[in-house]
Amino acid sequence: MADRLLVAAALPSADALARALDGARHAGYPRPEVFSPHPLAELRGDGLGRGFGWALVVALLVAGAALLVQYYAAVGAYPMNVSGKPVDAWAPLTPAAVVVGLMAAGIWALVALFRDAGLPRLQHPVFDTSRVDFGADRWYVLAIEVKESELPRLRSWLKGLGVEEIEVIRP
Amino acid sequence: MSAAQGGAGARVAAVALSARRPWPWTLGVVASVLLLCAYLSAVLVLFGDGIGIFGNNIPVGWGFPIINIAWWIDVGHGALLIAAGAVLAGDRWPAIARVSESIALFAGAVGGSFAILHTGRPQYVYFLFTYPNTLDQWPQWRSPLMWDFFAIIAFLVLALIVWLVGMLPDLAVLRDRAAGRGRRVFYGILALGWRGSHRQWAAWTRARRLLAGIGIPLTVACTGISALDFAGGISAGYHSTMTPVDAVPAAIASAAGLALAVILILRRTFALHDVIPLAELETLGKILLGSALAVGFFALYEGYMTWYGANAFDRYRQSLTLTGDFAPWYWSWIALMVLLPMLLAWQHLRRSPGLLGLIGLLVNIGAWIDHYLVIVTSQERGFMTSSWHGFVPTVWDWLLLTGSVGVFLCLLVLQARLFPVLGVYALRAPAVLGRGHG
Repeated sequence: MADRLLVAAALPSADALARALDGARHAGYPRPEVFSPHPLAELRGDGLGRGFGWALVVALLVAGAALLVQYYAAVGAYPMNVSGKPVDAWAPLTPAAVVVGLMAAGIWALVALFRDAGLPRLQHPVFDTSRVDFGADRWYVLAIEVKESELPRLRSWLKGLGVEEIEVIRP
Repeated sequence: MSAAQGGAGARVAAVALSARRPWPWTLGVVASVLLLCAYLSAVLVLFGDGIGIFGNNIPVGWGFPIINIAWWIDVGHGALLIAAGAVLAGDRWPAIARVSESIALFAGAVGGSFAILHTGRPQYVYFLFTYPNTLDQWPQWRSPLMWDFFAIIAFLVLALIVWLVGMLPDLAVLRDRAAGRGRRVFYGILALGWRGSHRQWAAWTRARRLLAGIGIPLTVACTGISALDFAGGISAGYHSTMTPVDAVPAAIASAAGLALAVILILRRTFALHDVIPLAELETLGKILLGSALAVGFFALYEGYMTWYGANAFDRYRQSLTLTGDFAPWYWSWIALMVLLPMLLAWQHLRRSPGLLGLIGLLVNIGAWIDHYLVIVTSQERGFMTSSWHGFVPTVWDWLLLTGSVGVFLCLLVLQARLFPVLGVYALRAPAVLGRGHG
C-alpha cells in the first residue's frame, strides 16, 4: 500500500463540504471521507435511525432470557411459598426483565457506535494534516485516498471545486 | 489557539482548559469538600456502629436513608428524561442536555450509594444481588425491592453510557485545543480517536437518538418500580396504584429545578451568558411549570380518591396531612413544589435568572419534603394505635443528607473544570450558532 496517498482539502463551509462529498462520489472516488466539527445538516431529523430494529431485537432477547431465568428460579429451583400466591405467576417477573432488556439495548447502542464509528482508533492519517486547526470552531475537510498515479486527476478535479491548496499525506 | 480567537465552542472549551479559576468555583470546591468530609465521617461511624446511629425506630423503619435514596434517584430519573427529550427534540439546547446528563449520572450515583449505606453493613451488600448461595437466601423475585435493585443498576448503566456518548466529540475538542502534552494525551485517550468524520457523526447521531429512545421507557419504568416499593406496602399514605404514575412528573420537576440552578451557577461563574441564552433557561422553566402542574393535579386527585374510596384509614391519614400533625409538611410540599413554580406562568418572571435558580432549588427541597411525607409520616401512624411513634432524625441523619449534597457538588465542580459544561458540538453547528440570545 506504499503507493496510496491520502489527499486532504480544506473547504470553506459545511455546504461546500456536502457538495464536494456528493461530487467525489459521482466522480467515482472510492470511500471519500469528510470531516467536520459538528454533524452535517443532512444528518438532522433522521428519527431514531436504522439502529432501532436491532436494539429492539437485543432488548427482547435479553428480556426474554431474564424472564426465563426468573421463571426457572421461582418455579423450578426455589418454589417459595409467599402468602399462598401461585409460584408460576409470570406477571411479577416482568418488571426486572423489562429494565434489564432496555439496559442491554443501551449497551448494544454503545457497542454499535464503536463499531460503526471505527472507535477506538487513536491514530489516523487525517490527524497529520497541518493546514487545518481541528481546535477551531469551523473547519471542513474532504479526504480521499488514491493511488499516486491518480493524484494529478484528483488535483485537477479539486481545482474545479475551487480548492487551490491540497495536502498529500502518506499513511 | 486562544479562546478569544475561537467562537462559542472555543469559549466553552476554554472553561475546562484555562488555568484561571473563578472565585465562585473555588468557593464551590471548598464547600463541597467540607460537605464531603461530613459525609465520609458519617459513613465511617455508620460502618462502625451500624444503623443504630439513625433515628429509625419501630414503626418508622424507613427513615432518612430511604428518603435520600428515593430523592436522589428520582432526580436522576427526571434528569435523564429531560436529557432524552432534549436530544429527540433536535439537540438545540446544549446546556440542558449536558447538565441533565451529568445530573442523571451523579444523582444516580449518590442515590445508589445510599442503597449500600442504608443497610449499614457494606460487607454484605452482595446479598442484594441474586445468586444461588448456601445460606438459602434466595431472593423473592416477586418483590418490588428486588425489581428496584435491577432498576437502579440498569439506570446507572444507561446514565453512564448516555453521559459518555454525549461527551465523546467534546473530549476530542479538548484534545485538539489543550496546550500541554499531558492534557492532550489525557483527552486523546478519553476521546478514543474521535476525528469528526461524516461516518462517525452519523453513527454518533444515531446512537444518541437511540439511547434517548431507550432512556425514556427505562426511566419511566425505573421511576415506577421505585415508587412500587412504597405502593406495594399496605400503609395508608403510600398504598396507592397512582404512586408510580405521579412519581414521574415529580421526578421531572425536581430534575428541571436542579438543572436550572446548576446551569445558572455555571453561566454566572464562567461568564457564559452569551452561549447559554435566556431562551434555553426559559424552556427549562416551562418544563418545570408543566411538571409542577401535573404534581398539583395528582395531589388533587389523591384527595378526591381518598374521599371517593371512603376508606377510614385513608381519610384519617388525609385529615392528619391537611389539618393535623403532618399539615406543616404537607403544605410546605404544596407551597414549594406546586404553588411556587406557578410564578413561572408569567414570562417576565420566567426570564429572570435569579428567580429561576431560586425556584429550582426550592422545588428540590419540596421534593425532599414530599418523600419525607410519604415515607416517614405514613409509618408514624399505622393501623395499630398502640404502636404509633414519632420520628426524630439524629445528627448522623442530617450529616449524611447534607454530605450527600457535598458528594454531588464535588462531582459537579470536578466536571466543570475537566470537561465542557455544555455540548460544544451543538454550539459549533451553524443552525445553533445563529440562535437568539434572548
